[in-house]
Formats: sequence, C-alpha cells, structure tokens
Amino acid sequence: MRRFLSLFTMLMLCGVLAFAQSRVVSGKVTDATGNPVPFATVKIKGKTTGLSADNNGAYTIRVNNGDVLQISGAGFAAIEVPVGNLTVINSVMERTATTDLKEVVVSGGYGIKRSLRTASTNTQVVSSEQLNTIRNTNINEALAGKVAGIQLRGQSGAKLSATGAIRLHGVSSLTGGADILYVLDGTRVASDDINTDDVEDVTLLQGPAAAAIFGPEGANGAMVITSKRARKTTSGMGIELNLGVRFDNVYILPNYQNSYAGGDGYDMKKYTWKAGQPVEWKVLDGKYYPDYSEDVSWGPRMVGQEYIPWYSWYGGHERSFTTDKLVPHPNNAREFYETQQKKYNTVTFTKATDNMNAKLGYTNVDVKGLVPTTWLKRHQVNAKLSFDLTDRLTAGLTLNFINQRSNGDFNDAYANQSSGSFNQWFHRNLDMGIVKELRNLKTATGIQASWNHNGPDNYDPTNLKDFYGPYYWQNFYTAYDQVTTLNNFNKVQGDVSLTYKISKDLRIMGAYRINNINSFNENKVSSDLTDMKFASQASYNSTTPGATFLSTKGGYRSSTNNFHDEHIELTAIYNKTIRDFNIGATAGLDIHTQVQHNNSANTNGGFNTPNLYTLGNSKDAPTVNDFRFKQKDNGLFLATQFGFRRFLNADITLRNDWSSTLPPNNNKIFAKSFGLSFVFSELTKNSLPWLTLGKIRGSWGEVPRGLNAYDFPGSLYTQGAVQWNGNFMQSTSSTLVDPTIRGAVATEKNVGADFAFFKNRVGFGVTYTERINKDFPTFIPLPPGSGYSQKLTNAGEINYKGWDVTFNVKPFWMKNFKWEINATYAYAISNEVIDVNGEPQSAWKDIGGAAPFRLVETATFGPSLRAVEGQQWGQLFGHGIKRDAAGNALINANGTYAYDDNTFFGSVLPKYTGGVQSTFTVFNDFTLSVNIDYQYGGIYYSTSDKWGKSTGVLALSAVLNDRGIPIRDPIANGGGVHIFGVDAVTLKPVDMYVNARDYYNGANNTFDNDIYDLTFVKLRELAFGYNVPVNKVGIGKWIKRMNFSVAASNPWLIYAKTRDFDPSEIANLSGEGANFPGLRGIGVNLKLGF
Amino acid sequence: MKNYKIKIALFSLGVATLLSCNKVKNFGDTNVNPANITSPATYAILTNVLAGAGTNTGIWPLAKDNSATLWIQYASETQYPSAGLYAIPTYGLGAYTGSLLNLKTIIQANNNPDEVAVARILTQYIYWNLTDALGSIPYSEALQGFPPKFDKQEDIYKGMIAELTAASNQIQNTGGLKGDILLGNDAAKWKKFANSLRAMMAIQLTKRYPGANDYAAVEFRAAITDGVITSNADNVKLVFPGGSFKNQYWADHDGQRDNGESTQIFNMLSSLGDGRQAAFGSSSVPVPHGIKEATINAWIKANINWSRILADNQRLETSPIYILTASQVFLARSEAAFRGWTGPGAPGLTTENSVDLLKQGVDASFAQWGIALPPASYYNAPHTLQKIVEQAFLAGFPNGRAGWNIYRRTGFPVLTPAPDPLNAAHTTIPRRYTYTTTEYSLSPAGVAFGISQLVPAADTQEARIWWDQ
Repeated sequence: MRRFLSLFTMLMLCGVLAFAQSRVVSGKVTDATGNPVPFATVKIKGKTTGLSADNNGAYTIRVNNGDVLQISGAGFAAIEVPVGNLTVINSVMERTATTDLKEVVVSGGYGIKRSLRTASTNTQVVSSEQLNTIRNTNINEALAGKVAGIQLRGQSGAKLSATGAIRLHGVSSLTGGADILYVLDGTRVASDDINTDDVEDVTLLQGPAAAAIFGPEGANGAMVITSKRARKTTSGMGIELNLGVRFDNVYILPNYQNSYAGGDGYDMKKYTWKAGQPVEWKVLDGKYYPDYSEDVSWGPRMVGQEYIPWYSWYGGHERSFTTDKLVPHPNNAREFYETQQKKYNTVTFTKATDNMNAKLGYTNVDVKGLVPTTWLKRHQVNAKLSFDLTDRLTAGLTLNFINQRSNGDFNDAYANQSSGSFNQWFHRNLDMGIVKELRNLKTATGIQASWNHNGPDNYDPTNLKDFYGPYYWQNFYTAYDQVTTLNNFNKVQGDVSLTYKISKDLRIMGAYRINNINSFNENKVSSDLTDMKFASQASYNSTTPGATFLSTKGGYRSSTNNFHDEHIELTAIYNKTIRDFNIGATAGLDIHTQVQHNNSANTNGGFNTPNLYTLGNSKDAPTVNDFRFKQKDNGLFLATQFGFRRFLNADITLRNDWSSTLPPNNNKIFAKSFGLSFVFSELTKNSLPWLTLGKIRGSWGEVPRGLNAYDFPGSLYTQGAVQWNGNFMQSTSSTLVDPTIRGAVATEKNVGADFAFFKNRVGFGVTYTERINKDFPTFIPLPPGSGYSQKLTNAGEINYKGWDVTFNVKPFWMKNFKWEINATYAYAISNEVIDVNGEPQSAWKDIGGAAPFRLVETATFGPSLRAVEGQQWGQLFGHGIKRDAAGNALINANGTYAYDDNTFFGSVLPKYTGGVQSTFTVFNDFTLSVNIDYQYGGIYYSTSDKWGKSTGVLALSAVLNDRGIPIRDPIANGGGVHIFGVDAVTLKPVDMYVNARDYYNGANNTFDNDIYDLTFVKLRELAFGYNVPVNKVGIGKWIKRMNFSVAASNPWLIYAKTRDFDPSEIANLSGEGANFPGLRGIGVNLKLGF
Repeated sequence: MKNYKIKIALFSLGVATLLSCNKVKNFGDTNVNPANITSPATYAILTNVLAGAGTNTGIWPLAKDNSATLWIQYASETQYPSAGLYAIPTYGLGAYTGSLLNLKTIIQANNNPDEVAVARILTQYIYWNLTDALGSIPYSEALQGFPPKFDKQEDIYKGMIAELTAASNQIQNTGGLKGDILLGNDAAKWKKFANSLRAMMAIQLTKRYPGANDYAAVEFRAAITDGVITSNADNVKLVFPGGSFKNQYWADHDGQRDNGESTQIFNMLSSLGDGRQAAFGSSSVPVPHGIKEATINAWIKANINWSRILADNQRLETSPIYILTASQVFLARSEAAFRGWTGPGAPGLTTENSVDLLKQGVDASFAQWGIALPPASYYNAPHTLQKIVEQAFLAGFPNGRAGWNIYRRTGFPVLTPAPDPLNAAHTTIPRRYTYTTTEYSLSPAGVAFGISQLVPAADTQEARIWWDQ
C-alpha cells in the first residue's frame, strides 16, 4: 500500500507539471430534460487524455484555444463542441435510440456519488424499475433474487407487519445476526420505513469494505436508498397517481389427512342419559359421540355415520341437541383464513425549476388480513425539497413521516390458537363454518363454548366449566375476537441541510438529521374469554403478549416507546479533475446522539371490573417497567477517490469514532477500507471494440463496532419493580464485565471482475469475498459456584467465503421486441464457526431453537440450534436415530428407534441463493416480468410435522402401508408402519410392523423425519404491464402517462422438497413452530401521470 | 484563489472548534445507567432473598421441592407425569449466583451484626439444601469469583454447623433488623432458627455418627442447649401477602393442575384416623401414584373431584409455606432421646423424654394446621423409632425435602416405588439429584470429585451421598 501511495504522489506531480500552458473551461452536461448526465466522459479530440464529469454532470478541463471537446456518456449520442474562447461550456446530450445502458450511479453515503464503472468494492445497484416489477410495500421482499449474495428470510404475508430479514453473505455473528444498515437519503432507518413507491434506486454496499464510511454501523454492509426527486419536465403538472389493490389467499398448507375424525380411539362412545344431566340431552340418548377433549385426530373413520358433534351439547342455538353425519371437511383449516385485501395508493406531486426542486408524496396502505380480525393501516408522507438561495447556497429538506396502526396476534409459534391447532392439535372432522357461526356461543352462565371440551361423563352440575369450558383450545374465532393486539407508531425521519459551494470543486454541507419514533402498543384480553381447563399449551407461547394472557382472566398491557436518534453532520466534498487525474474527497464530522425511553405496564391476576381496560383496574399490583438508554458517538471521516484516465482508480476510506458505550480510557473505533480498480477495457477500446467493459477490482476493509449502552461497566445492583407488603427489593448482579471490553470486528477482502460485451448485450460480474467477524461481546458462562453466572468479554469468530455472480443478457433488443434477463447467483463456500468463546472446553453455543418439553427421559421438544466450532454455523442438533456402522437404524424391542443424543442434522444456512429476472417488452408498451428466485441447501425443523404426525392430523399418519392396508389398522389385520433396521441390542436385522399411533407418537422420539430441506425454486412474481398510449386514445390532453398492470405474487412454487410449507417463509432460524400459510395473490395497478 | 484558501481555513477552524467544544472523546456521564444502584440497601436485598422472587433458588422454593414431593409420595402427578416416574433429575447451582451472592453482599456490607447473622444463617440453610440434593458442592471456596473446588459433604456439614453456631452467637438482638419478611425482624427468632437448623443437620447424620458421644450427638445437644423452636409462634414460615406474591400451592392450582394429594399420605392418615387429612387434601379422592400418562389422564377424567394438595382453606393466595416448624424440632428431639443421644443415661440433656416429645411434636403439628388435637389413644404403645419418624414425615408435609431427608436417612415410611417408571434403568425412589450439564462443562474437576464421593461412584439418582451411605 505504501508503495502504491508513493507512486501515486509521483503521478500527481507529473500531472501538475504537465498542464502549465493551458487555460480552464468548466461546464455541465445535461440531457434534453435538463437533468444531469452523471460521469459523462469529456476529452479533447485527438488526445488520449480525458476525464469524467461528476455525478451532477459538472466538469472542469484544461484546454488550449482551438481544441474540440468530445463528450460522451453511456446511453447518449456522443457530441463534439469546439472550445473557441468560451470558459463555460454547458452541453445538452440526446439519448440514443437504443438506450441500452445508463451510467449507473453508486450512492456511497454522506452524499458521495460515484460511477459504478470504476467502483472498487462489491456493490450492486437496483433501479426503481427493477425493484418494483410488481408493487411490494416491503423492500426486502422486493429485492429477493435481484442482488447476488442476499438471502431473503421471508415471513408469511399473513403476518401483516413482518418484513422478513435479509442475510447478506450468510451470518456475521454467532447468534445468527446479519443486520445490515438501511440508509434512506442519508438517514439511518429500519427496512420497513422505506416506501418502495418512493425509491429512486438502491445501492447495496456489500460488507465492511464498501460501507466503512458509516463506521461501526456499516460493519455488516449498508443498503443506501435514494428517494425520488422532482425532475424538470417540459409538459404536465407533475402529479402522479399510483393506485393498486391486491387480493391474497392461502396457497400452501400442510397436507392433512381426511379419513379419521377427532378423538382418541377408533370407536365412538355410546351416550346414555343420566339423571342430573340436562333434560334436553335426553334426545341424544343412545347416539354416539367421539372424544372431544383429546385434541388429536386418532378417532373413528369418517364414513358418514351419525354422531353427536361438539356443539350439540350446548343449548341456545339452531343446532342444539342435534346429530350430524361424520364426514371429512378437507378444507376446514383453509376456510378459517379470509381473503387478504390490500389497498396501496400513492399520490406524488413534483415540481422542479432551475433553482428549486420539490416533491411531496402521500401513500396509504390499508390491509384487511388473512387471519380474521387482523388489519393494518398506514399513512406515509415523503417530501424532498431543495432550493438554491444564491448560486452558492442551497437549502434542503427531506422528510419521511409514517403513521401505522395494526391489530393482530401474528404469533405463529407452537400451539397458537389457529395454525398451532390446525397443524398440530386438531379434529379433522370440524366444520369450520359452524365453528365460525358459533363464535359467540356461551352457556347461560357465560362459559364460552369450544369444539374442544370434556365428554358428557364429566358433566358436573356444580362445576359446569369442567364440561362446557374449553379444554386445551378456544373456538378459534372467539380467541381472535377477544384478544386484541394493537401496535401504533409515528415516525418522523429526515434532515434539514444547507450546502455552500465554496468553489466549483468544493462544497460544504451542514445537516441536522433525525429519526424519531413514538410507538404505543397495547394488548387486551377480554374478561369474557373463558380460561382453558389445561392452559399449559397456550401459556407455552410466552413470546406473544396476548397468548400469555390466555390462561388467565382478562388482562391489559400497554407500552409506549420514545426513540430519538439525531446526527449533526458537517461534510466537505471536494471534486477536482486535473487533466488525467480525478480526485474526489469527502471529509466530515458526524455527531450522533441516541436516546430511548420505554414505559410499559400490565395488569396481573385479572380485572376488578370486567373488560375495563386500564392498568388501575388490575386485580393484583400491575407490573410496571421503565427503561432509558442514552448513547453518543462522535465520528470523523475522510473518503477519498483517486482516478487516473478513467481506467485506474483507488479508494481510501478512513473513519474514527469515539463512543460513549466503550470504556472511557479507550473509546476509539477506527474503521478503514482500501480499494483499487482497473478498467482495462479503456486501453483496449480500439483493439477490442466488442469489449464494452472489462474491469478488475479489489478491496479490503475493517470495521469494528461499539457496544450497547450500559453494557460497560454493567450494573452492580438493581431494584425490582414489585414490593412485598411495602418491602422493596434489590439484587446483586451476577454478571462480570471485562474492563477491556470492545465491540466486534468485521474484516473483509474481496476481488472481482466485471465484463460487458457488444454494447452491453451480454455482461457479467464475479466477486470472491472473504470475511471474518470476530471478538463479539459475548457472555461467557462461569461456573455457578464462583457466585457469578457469566462474564461479558470479547470472544468468538466466524468466517465467510463465497462467490457472487451477476449476469445480464439481452437475447433480443429490437425496436418492437426486447428481452432482458438478469440473473444472480451466490455460492457460500463456507460460513464456518472458528471459535465460540475462546475456551476449548465448550466448543459450541446454543443459539435458540426449541425449548425442552415433556417427552420421555431427557428428550426435548425439538432440536436445538447451535454454533459449533469447526462446523458451518447453525447446526440443528439433538436426538437422531442411532445407526450402526452400515447406516441401519437401531430399533428397540418395542419398535421405537434408539436414539443418539448427539446427532448433527446439518446447517440451516443455504449453500447457494439467487434469482433470475426476465423482462419482455413488446412494442415498447407491453411488458412482461417474470421473477424467479431460488435457494439450494440448508435445513429446517418442522414442529408442525412432529406434532401433526403424532396427533394424527397430517396425511402421513393415515396412509396405506406396503401391504396396501391402512397403517392405522391393527397389525394383526395387516396394518401398522413397516420399519426396518437392526435390533438395538443384538444388532440382528429387524423387519417389523409397528402400531401407527405408537410410531408417530412422541415416544418415537427422534427428529430425523421432521427435518426438511430449504431448497426451493419459486416463481415469486409475474407481472404484465401496459403503457396506455394516451395520445392515441385521445386522453393525452389530460393524462400524460398511463400504465396498467396485473401482477401475481407467489404464483408457482416450482420446486421444493417438502410442500407443507413455503421454504422461503420459514418463521424461525431453526424452523417453523406452526407457520402461518403462505399467500398467493393477484394485484392490479394503475399508474397515472398528469 | 486567495478567497478559497481563506474559506478552507475557516472551515477547518470551524471543525476544530466544534470538536474541541464537544470534547470528542469525553462523554461525561452519558454511559451511566439510570437504573443502576451503586450503594445497595442490604435490607432490600434480604427481602429479595426471602421472597425467592421468580427463582427456584430462593428460600421457600427449597421447602417446596416438587420432585422430592413426588418421590416420597406426598403428591402424585395428574398430567404429564415425569418426575414422579423417575425421569432423570438434575439440580443446578443457580442459588450461588442468586441468593447466595446476594447474602454475601449483605455479609460484606456488614451494616448491622444481626443482619449479618441472618445472612449467615440463610446462607447455611441454602447450602444444606444443596448438599442434601447433590452431595459434594462448592463450599469452602464458593462465591469468590473463580472456579471453586467441590468439598466433601462431611466437611460441608461440619462447616455449616460451625458457621450456624457462630452466627447464632453473633446475634445481639439490639433491634435494627429491616426487610425481614420471614421472622418479622425478630432476631431472637433467628437465633432459634439457627439452633434448630443445627439440630436438624446433626440428626441427619445418624447413619454416620450413631453414637451418643459422636460428633452428631454432641452438636445436637449443643444446639438444643442454645435454644431451639419450641412453639408454633416461632415457626419459620413465609406468609405470602397475596397480590404480586401469592402462595405457590395456590398458584399451582390456578389454571394449571399438575399435582394432587397422593394415596400414600392419604392412607397413612386414614390408618391413624388422623384429622390432618382435613388440612392436607381437598377431598377424600387421593390421586394414585406413579402411573403413566394415558392411565392417569383417564383416571383424572373419571375422578373430577380428585384431591388437590392442601385443603382449599390452607391454599389461599395468602397462606404460608412452612420452612421449619416446632413440630419438626420436637420430633427430632424425640428421636434423639429414643436413640439415647439425650434423655436418662445420655451424656447430656438427661431430662429429654422421647414419649413426651413425640406428643408435643404431634400436638404442635395438629395445632399448626388448626386441627383438633388427637385423643390420647393416638399415642398408644409401642413407642418405636418408626412411629416417631413417620410422625416427622407427616409433620413435614407438604415440604418434600423434609420428608425425603427422613425417608433417605431411616427408610421410613416404607414406600412402594412408582408402578410405571419411564425407564427400566431407574425404577427405585431417587436418593439424590444429578449434576447438570452446566456443571459438567464448567466444573469438570468438581463434578469428578463429587462423583468419587458417591456410593456407587456414579452420577446417578440411585447413588448415595455421604450421610446416606
């Protein structure tokens, strides 16, 4: 590096000496509408030297009188301008007829713009058009398959406010984090703050080498989003409407069995009326009923026989004391879900003049959810304003205001009150229409009816709830009706700025930037919701506030959170072109303050006054919590770029931060990155004219992070929130904090090459990346006997090595038919855990996964997810089938598999990911977009599969065996599940039939058969658009542009190894608990420009 | 050009000024957590330990050991049977990082001699429960911030009794105790608690030190001489205030009903014609013990009125949980006199009378539960060790640890193991808990030492700890 720098200094000196005799002209290159042509090439005719304009099209060049400037730009027809005696030369360029490439601009943060052509880092840019082939309110989803190196971990569309998460080059922490920084017009935001309608382009700075300028927050890479700005137009009012509506329905559900009814036992029981039981029940005397209380479907075959359904025992409705035919309801789970309706409308006003540029956009999103009672409403205002006060001073404002409200318990964990029942604990004979019809059914004493109640033998007039009340499950509709989960927030994000142009080359900008979030959330559980006889399953869902109430007697919880994040930025931007040399430098200061206040409280033990939702109405003392956090960081940065003759380019970024979160005697965080690129096609332009672009590049970066506020020095003593008869309580912290604690460090190096051929008809890019993340602030467990449970110190290391490939081809590019294909592919060679805690004796760490649960012996509910030294991150680990050397399963005498506690099933990380986008344009006005994405490798654990088989809900539990007999039939009659293996003790071959219930029961306690592959190929988006020729149809006077489109989302899961769930939408890192179903939708969209 | 340079200079000056104003490196008290306490209120820490808030390592949770309660058949599981079917039990050392560390804070702060003595007594009470569950545990080097060795149980017992003696002697009873929600800031009661604990620990060593001149008998006599609990008014019990802190037997039956009164305890009471059944259960339908899930599920469905642990009026939100009672101490004294440690002919305390003490113990138990005292016929001859021990077993109800310690030490009452054990390898009533995987990974040498002290030397629930050998 040092050698390179001295060489560079010499080149600089030579350059300075060489241009002594000439004079300077400056100018700006614009297109026909007045917008700048960024990075246009300006050279003097007859000479080999040239330079690039900056991102605003501005340039300065030394000339002699009589020279002729040749100005060219990608996508524009080259022009020649004689210099004459002019000192300012502003040029207008015409777009070429066959626009095949625009100069792609990389947004590097802090206002830095540069050409992708010479970028030295691994960076991809996605345009508004590529992003919005179909309108999607979620930027993460909209990027799926379109950027090499990212994996979208989607969530079911039924979870209205869930955005999914993006993994950029695997995981970058031991606990699975991969949090990239989202920067919208310079302001750090959350991914769901971004209005995709308002996005101009997205630059993905892939990793610390590209995002070092953001300092600690850029350690995992950054997504830099530029919102739309007003453009000067020659006609029209600058009003644009984008109106859309979309309908989604369930497209994927587990494969349920439809042969056997609910209950536990092949035969139904005969009901005999007894004295003391309700007299209305007499009509049911002698009829048969199944077991309603067992929430499993190991009941009788459904062959249309008469039976007493669950609702018959309750009086007061049309179906009281009647019988029905026991028949399958194959679509009962599907029928529970409603059609999700989403309206998504935007209006944008823009105006641009020579010295003013204004945009005001309003977006409204209104969703009625798939899960009954759920909804979401969002209002978003996006404004962007800049105006030149003088020819040197510009004032600017950007604003992103969001108001969002939603209702819904979107918990899709194990045993939730919808999918948790349908997939895992259910009666396959339920008629969902009747369940819905009876959602308000109560007994005279107010006990809510449920399909899952006790049998008539348990009728006890002194304890009616024991019979009529819900056993494990509520009526699904009742549960959703009576549990409200409201989430509301307001966000104000953006900045005000002043930019002063000191000279043509140098400008300074001061900006004040905020991200303010005020949120208010509340949960209400009605006092009318009858608590379940056995609440252990629902109360297991402690992750969801609403669900934890289900076992009690009504409750209210509210929380308010106030988040204030501000940056004061002072930036100087210098761009200078001196003959062959081109220097860009951005230096700045960033003073950051973040303050959070959180208050939350919940009632305990029920209400005093039923359904009065106030904290003061709590039966026991309410629980009150308040948290405050404050953090400050000061950053100084310098990003420089040196270019030589458009083919050689060096980038250096240095940033130092001081953080309040670190030990005061050593609170510096120094981030740096270096890059070099060589565009050799500049040298072969004449000899290899078909080589449009040939570039090699490499970059290296190291970005350390800070800590969370108050992690250091930690707390010594804390006070509890509750009191014992007026005695308050304090406790001693059992956590030690290393006095030299630091933040984690991310280091990345990459090399790559980009090629384009035949005027960009074919192009590809390849990047090889190696990244190391290490020294995570980690809680290392201490032996409890020491008195301390853990110590916060730096430990751990995880690496990533992989290839990214992008590919672009235009098989047809004719006037009336254009076909473009963009493809991405990322191959993760390795994402290996090198070290877990710096100590040899504990070479793994639990990341989470399933919790222990009641199964025989030391069995667990599901495999745990582990970071294991020497293995790929994210190993599923737990009970696997024990096998002999030849791979045969060991089988116990009772027909169960012998298990091995320490089985590794593999990593949850996919091996490769990517996508293919195809766009067809016919007659310039008809477009068809086909977006496919795919993933290969990686596994997940299906909790639904485990329980759905053991409870007889899933189809696998009701198939025919190899003798053609139902597996549920007695073994003596040819039924049973055929298993093979060797005896666990004698190792002699075993070939036997096992009772199906026993086989699938929890006793059969291995996870091998519940683990599935994450591989999929999916047609995610299919969109057809039509630009209505407004002039031809005679509305051009009023409407300047009109586009109509129809789009399908998730139309086709082309390939997946399991079809019970969509592998692209698995809820948790380790797998699914009871995933909400995937959605398939069709939307229509109308875009109007006035 | 000149102008330009001036502006750059001004800009640089501006940046420099901003930086110096902001003291770029110095953030003052920004990183001070407003919720942090640097100077603790030791009495508030004492309250926290006594409340056992939210942990299984506080004071009363030791007296409400669910698994032990099932093993010795005070209780039976009514759904999801597991512990009662001898699933492998583990016992963690979480108490060290919770209650014991908190008590160490109190002792180190040294604010008040009585408060320090209380903390020392509670510390030994917790160690006692831990060592009785596991055998060898960290003791002499515990709570020092580095990995401690595991000590021999014999050394732990001797250490605990010595420390309790010292703590008992430290009590000045000059007032000033605060936050004591267990014994109402009454230091005299703490002295009796400490001495009673010494007596209970000493009698636990009957297998190792049976003789009247052995260590255990000597310490037992010393404890009694120093003054033990002799009245229900001095019982060590935690009375719950309700609201945020409810009696846990109440909470166990609030929405979840996992355990009921076992047939074993019901039958013992029935055969004695013992009135305490009116307090110990909620009905006369006790739950059969140790049967598998399917069977118990069917049984529960068929017997809606199965008996909960404790009668409804003994299981209020505000009911107490008993930690050590006068009855238990009287019955230990009755046994000591029966064994010749005290009473006529013993090296000391010759006035102790085993028969009288049995009656005092039983009466105290009946009175504790508010049951009319039994008739004289209840104490008909013969006066046997089994009789005394079984009364101690009944007096301990529903504190599973109390019953388990008696059963392991004496073999009484005679219990029939669960008919449906989960695993063919574990069919007998557990004699101890096993070490957790945390201990295996973080204290491998300590666990290895602990195992070497067991008979047989294996970390199983059937292996016997030192005083059980």
